[in-house]
Amino acid sequence: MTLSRDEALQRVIDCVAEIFERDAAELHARTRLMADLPCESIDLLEISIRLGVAFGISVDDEAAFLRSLRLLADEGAAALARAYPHLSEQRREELLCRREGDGLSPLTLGDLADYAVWASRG
Amino acid sequence: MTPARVVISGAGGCTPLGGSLVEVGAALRAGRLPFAPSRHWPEFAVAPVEPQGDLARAPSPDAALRLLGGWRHRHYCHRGAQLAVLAGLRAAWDAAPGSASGNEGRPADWTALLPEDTPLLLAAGPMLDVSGEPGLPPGDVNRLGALWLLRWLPNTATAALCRLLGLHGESLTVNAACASALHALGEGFRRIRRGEAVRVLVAAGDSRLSEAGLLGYARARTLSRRGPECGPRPFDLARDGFVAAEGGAAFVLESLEAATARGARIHAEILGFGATSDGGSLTAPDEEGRYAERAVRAALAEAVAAGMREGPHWVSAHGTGTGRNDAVEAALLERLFADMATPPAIMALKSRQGHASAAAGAVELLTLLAAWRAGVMPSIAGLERPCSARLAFVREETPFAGPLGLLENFGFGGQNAVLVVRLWT
Repeated sequence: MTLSRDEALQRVIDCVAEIFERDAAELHARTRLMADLPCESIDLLEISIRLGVAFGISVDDEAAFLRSLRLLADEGAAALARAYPHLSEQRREELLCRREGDGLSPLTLGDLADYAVWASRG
Repeated sequence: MTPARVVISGAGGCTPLGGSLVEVGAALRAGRLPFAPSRHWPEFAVAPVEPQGDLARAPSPDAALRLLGGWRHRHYCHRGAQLAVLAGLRAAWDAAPGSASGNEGRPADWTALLPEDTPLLLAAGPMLDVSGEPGLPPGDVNRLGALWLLRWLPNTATAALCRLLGLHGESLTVNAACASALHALGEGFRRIRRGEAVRVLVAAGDSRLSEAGLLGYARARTLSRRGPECGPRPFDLARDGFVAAEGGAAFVLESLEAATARGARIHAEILGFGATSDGGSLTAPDEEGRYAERAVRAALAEAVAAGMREGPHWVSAHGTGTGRNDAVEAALLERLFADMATPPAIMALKSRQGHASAAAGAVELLTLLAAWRAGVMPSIAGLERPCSARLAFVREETPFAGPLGLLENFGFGGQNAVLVVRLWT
């Protein structure tokens, strides 16, 4: 059975809510992990390992957390598409346009759900 | 250069008798004993800190507990580590100008309580809560978090306390078995005495009341079997072991000069420290107590050199209630003090709060400060037939004969530590 985006998002939210001691109802697809939550490197490690267990996948932190977004965005749309095939074209376009924002990572819980769906397909 | 005089200008804790000098003093006055059956091994008594389980669920938390409870990474600290952190916060707050004694009020900024270069020495026990970590092999390792290891590392409490208090000086985690806390206090004392620091935060915390923690002592047959509601009986002929406790206590040590200059509330002065190793059995003390005695003599010699002209008026003995420790310690105390014109009063605080392992010395110092404020030396609970007729065991509540005394802790592995203090009014 394929994993739906909604189901994936719920699992991501449950996992993140527990780590940040938040009510799951406060979190949604557009919640930014680094900008809207008090996320530290220690938390990324926990999120990575929990997503791995929750989805039965091996999480590539580089791709899942959009670690090299700034560098790749400078290289252009093709580089972004190669590195983040789990994101929709529309989302990648959005990231390209937004790269001059507040300096905080624009990574959202929705992006993590997209990664989980993509990685679950093998 | 004249060595600096070292005083205790902040004290805080979380012990089976209470979370402040006021609470501990009230418990002593009421004669309240904290012993209750272990949740895991109900045939044994333990002395827990309330609330059991998650500390953050205390019914009326003070500011320190609210800070700890609101810190979502606290779960990386095992219970003993959380007790050390909580005690450290309370001691730092107690040392601050304008704080009330008894954990009331709330600092405007926790990271401004102590100068940011204040060293931290933290006495920590081991993490033994194996069943509290269900992902360990042969369990399902997928249940382990990414950083489960932090709960098992000895320095996590130290790192946590530095973070919460904004400390950036030297920080060290100290262990010398049941003499850990006195070693940490002694190290802090020496640093200030030698002029290496003006102020040092010393914290200690330990808990062995988990299923596996208590099992460690049960298998070694060191625990009392008097009954699940009973405390140990230090120095009694019928003593049969100790009762495990948990707890934390912490102190701000400061040069007298600096403390006086800022008008600090002074609880006590440290006059001497002695530490030795038996270099013998991994568990049993040296049968003649030769090296423990050497530690006592070294601490007293340092105190005399620092101007101690009388006493000691009292001794807070290690007094675990085990056959071996108390026999060796009683013989040692007889050799040193029985022939004095006015021998010191011997207290055994573990009879009233159990044995807090690595935190024992700090918890006992906190209890002594509380007893001094309350004006009475606590009697040795359960002492009916003393193992020595030549020692002045405290059999009933009596006023302190004087402010000068010594604290002894003799740990597994033969690590001995003795601190000489003068209680301040």
